[in-house]
Amino acid sequence: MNVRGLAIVLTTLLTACGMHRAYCPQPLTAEREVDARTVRALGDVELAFALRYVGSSDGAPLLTIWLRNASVTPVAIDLGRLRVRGLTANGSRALQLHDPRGEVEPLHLDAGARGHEKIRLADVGVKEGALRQICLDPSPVFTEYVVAHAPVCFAPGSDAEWTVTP
Amino acid sequence: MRRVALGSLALLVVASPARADDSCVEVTNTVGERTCSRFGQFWSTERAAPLFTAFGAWSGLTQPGRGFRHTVTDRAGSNEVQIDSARFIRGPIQSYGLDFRVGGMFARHGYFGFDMGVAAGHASGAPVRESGFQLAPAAGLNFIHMRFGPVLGVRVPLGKVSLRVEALTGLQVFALMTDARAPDGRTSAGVALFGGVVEPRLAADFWLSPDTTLSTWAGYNVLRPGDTTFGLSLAAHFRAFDGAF
Repeated sequence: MNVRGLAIVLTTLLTACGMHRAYCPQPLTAEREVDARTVRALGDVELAFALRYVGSSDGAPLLTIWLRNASVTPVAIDLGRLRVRGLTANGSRALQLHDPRGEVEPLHLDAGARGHEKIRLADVGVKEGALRQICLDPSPVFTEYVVAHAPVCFAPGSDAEWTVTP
Repeated sequence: MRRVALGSLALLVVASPARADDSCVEVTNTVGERTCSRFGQFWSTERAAPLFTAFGAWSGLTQPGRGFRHTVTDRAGSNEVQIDSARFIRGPIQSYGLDFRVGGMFARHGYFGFDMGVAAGHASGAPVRESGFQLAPAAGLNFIHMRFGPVLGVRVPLGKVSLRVEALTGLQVFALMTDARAPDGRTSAGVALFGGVVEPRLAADFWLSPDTTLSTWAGYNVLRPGDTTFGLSLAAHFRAFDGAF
C-alpha cells in the first residue's frame, strides 16, 4: 500500500470536509414564495407562513407553513398548537386547523431539515361576517421552549392572496 | 439525498401498476385532502427511518501462504504435487475493489448491517518447479477476493466526526489464477479458497452534511492473521446524523 498516496488523499478529503458548508439548509427567505415578514425564528429554527384561497369551495384559506432547522439536533414542534384568530367586524374568534384525520401531531423537526406543510383553516365562519384579518401566533408551536413571538397577520388581498399586514 | 431517496421510493410506489385500483391517489399535499404522503414526511425525525446505505472502495492485503495449496496432476492422474502458493508468490497480495453496505441503527448508538465487497489484484512471483511440474502466477489480474456478511457495530458521535467500532462476520472467497503445467503437458488454471471472516474494524465518519458521511475504515481478519483491509466509503443516512450528533 502506498502510504504516502493514501495520506495525501485522506488529507485532501478531510480538508474538503472541514471547508464544506452544506450543514445548514438555506434560510427560508431564500424560498421564492416566502415573505420575510412572516418568518419567526427560535435559535436556528425558522417558521414562515403564507395564506391563500386555493381550491376550496367554502372560502377556507389554505395555510402554508415552511419549516427549517439549521441546528444539529432535532427540535420538538407541534403545529397543532398554532393559535389562529380571525378578526371580523364584530370582534375576533379562534379558528381551527382542518385536520379530519388527526394527522397533525407533535413531531421533531429533524436536524438540518427543511420542509413545508399545507393545512386548510376550518370553520372560517363566512356567515358570521367576512374575515378582515387572520393572525397566527406561533409561540406555542415550540413545545420545549416558552418564547413569545409576534403574531403574523394577514388581510384579504387581491386575487387568491392574503397579504401580510404589519 | 434523503429527499431523493424518498422521492424515488414514492415515484416507484405511484408508478406501480399494482396500485392502479388503489384509492391512494395523490392529488394534493394539503392536510386532510391528501391520501398518500403523511404529515411531516419530509422534515420530521419520526418519519425518517434510521437507515443508511454506503458505497465505497476498499483494499485488502492477503497473505498467500495460508491455505493456498495448489494440487497439480498429470493427465493420467497418477502423479501429482501440492505446492503452497507462498513458494511462488512474492509477498502479500494487494487487491482493490468496491464494497456496498446497507444497515440501520437499532439503538441510539448501535447499528446492524450487511456488507459485501469484491476486489481484484495481481499476485506476482517467480515460477517454481517440482518433480517436473511447474507453477507460476498468471499474468494480469490473477487474484479475486469476495467477502460478504453481517456487520454489527457501535457508533460514538463526536460532532462532525463520529468513530465506530464494528465487526464483520461472514464468508470470503479467494481465487488465484495460475499457470500450472504437468510433465505431460496438462495445464490447470488456479485455486479457489473459501473461508470465514471475523474482522474487527475501526472507522471514522466525517459528516459532509446532516445525511451524508465520508468514512474511512481499517480491519484485521482474526481468522487469517496478517490479512488486513482498508476502505473509503460515502454513505447516505435517512435520519440526520443518524439521530445523534
